[in-house]
Amino acid sequence: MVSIMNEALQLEVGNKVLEVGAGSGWHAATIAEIVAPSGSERSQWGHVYTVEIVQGLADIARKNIMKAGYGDRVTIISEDGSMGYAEKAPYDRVLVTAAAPDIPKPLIEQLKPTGIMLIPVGSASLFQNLIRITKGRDGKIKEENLGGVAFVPLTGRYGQRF
Amino acid sequence: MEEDEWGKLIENLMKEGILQSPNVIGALRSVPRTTFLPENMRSYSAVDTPLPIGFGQTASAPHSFSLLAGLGETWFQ
Repeated sequence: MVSIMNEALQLEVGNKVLEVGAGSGWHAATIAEIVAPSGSERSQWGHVYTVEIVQGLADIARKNIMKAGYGDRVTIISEDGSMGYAEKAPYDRVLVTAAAPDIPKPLIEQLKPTGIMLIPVGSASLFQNLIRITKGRDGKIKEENLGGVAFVPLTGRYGQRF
Repeated sequence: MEEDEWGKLIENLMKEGILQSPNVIGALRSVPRTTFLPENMRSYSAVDTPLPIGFGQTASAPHSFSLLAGLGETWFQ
């Protein structure tokens, strides 16, 4: 079956984005290029905060981000991203790049009204469903299932239990 | 050479309808995956598959990221 996932994350210039799971930093740099395009007016720039629980990976991601020239638009935080990153909340967009057993409450709290979150939810070992959460102006949460995906497990306080 | 392969991959993702929105296409062109890979994986940068980055983790396949970031992308289930 083929369906259209219309405007999944709807990234826009100026968005403040939280990514849970920096990995190598490639996502964060690419998202930064969308929300804070090189060569555009800096005052319009958004920012990407990406949280990585594996210290060694956070170090690599930081190095890669600097090398690629996105150090001014991406901040890498080495903490438990399943808790989000309250210091810079609320966020316009939240992208979780690892499979969560449930939607972590702190991430919903840290989403701005009218904000959008994408998160794979389901078991660690099999496929998960990619869930899109939209927060209304009134703070009401809408959940949509965009279909099956396969991600590495989310770890940390709100992560998978083995 | 590597940049050509990256460009070709992007063209293919566009042809398949996986990549549609101009801002995602532009960002992918500006940020090739190769800079973010360990040295021994760089030659596979433009292969549309997840690649190991150490610590048991991977850099996403370009089509997966396109779908996540994407606007108006086609989603296969």
